[in-house]
Amino acid sequence: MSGVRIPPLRPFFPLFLGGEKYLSDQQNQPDQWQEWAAAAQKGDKRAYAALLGELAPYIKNVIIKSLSNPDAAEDIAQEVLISVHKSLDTYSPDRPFKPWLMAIINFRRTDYLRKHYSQRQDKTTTTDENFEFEASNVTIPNNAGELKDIEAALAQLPEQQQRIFRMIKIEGYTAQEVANEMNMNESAVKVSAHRTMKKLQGLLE
Amino acid sequence: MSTDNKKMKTDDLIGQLCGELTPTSPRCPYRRVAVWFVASVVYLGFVVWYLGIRPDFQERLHDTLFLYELMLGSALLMSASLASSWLSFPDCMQRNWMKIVPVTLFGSFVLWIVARSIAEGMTPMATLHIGHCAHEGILMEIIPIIALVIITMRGRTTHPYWAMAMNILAVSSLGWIGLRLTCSMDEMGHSFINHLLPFAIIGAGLGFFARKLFKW
Repeated sequence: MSGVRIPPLRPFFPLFLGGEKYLSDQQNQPDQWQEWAAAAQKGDKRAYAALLGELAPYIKNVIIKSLSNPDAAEDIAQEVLISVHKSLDTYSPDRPFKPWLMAIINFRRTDYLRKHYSQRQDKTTTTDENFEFEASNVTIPNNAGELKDIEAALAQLPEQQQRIFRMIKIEGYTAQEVANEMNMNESAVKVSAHRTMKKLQGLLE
Repeated sequence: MSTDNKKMKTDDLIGQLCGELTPTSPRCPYRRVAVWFVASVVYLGFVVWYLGIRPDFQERLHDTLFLYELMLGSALLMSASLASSWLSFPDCMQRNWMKIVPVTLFGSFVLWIVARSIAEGMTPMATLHIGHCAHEGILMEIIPIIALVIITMRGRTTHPYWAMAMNILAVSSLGWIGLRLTCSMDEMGHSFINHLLPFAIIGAGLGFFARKLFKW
């Protein structure tokens, strides 16, 4: 809960509780992958499915250690799987499998991070379940209340105005889409949203 | 819920990738570049023949410094093209020395140019020679660089900038060898400005697009 990551106990584990088997499994894993990859190159779909099935969680675990966003880790893991598929012919069974895989993982992770920072996604945040951010940024400074004040002010307005306001300002629909949905004129929708905004400002001041 | 969906997506993806699997043979790191190397040398021979070999070529073959330059250029050409080929593979970092060899040779090459320039003194260059070697060099290098870039694009490089640097080194050394065979001017100032600098600038420009060119 505190966000502190406990390091894995792998180096010590073989010393206790029959850990030799664990260690030997860990060492055999890349050999097994190597064999599956070689079989996949010959067209063995079962071996390929087994390989990708084992790689998926492994890749995700590797990536998640350096990323804070689990969704992004999942996306990158899928990108890596596609890259493994695309570059299967560049793997030679004479060479170890893991360095080949790690090179692809690092490449895709760097690609993701480069895109992430170039789009300044590191400077944006979502208010979903980010209560600390909401408390410090979303409410107006003079208002001692929280988001519930805005909700309460909105609840005082007619149902149709509330709905138009929510669709345009919160859910991100265009005026045209709202007009189509509510069977109204587009200009009327825009006017309604504008008036609702003014009313809310008045109520919250 | 979200995690379940993601998991489903990954499982679907694996199913899809397995469905698309076709038998393939492991790619040999050296085959394509060997073809490129032979074709480029043949092409260079053709261009040298077309432009005309320097009149004092027979004499120059007895000059140790001239032979040293040709050997250095050839070693750079071979090592850089091999490194370029190896860099088309994701796990190229397993043979890091393949990059170090051409970089070291290039360092010696630059030192050689600097040492000779100092020894010769920077004499003013004949205006007649300005530009014409650069044009000939471009003729010698344009086809090989396009071919080598295409070969790298068809690979799966995880080090696009290094791959482009090796491509540029390989092709520049090819041009250098070619120009030593056609151009009679042996002054290092001329060689540096006309035989090397234009291609270094073009190469640096290409380097900016390496990541986009070698995207996969």
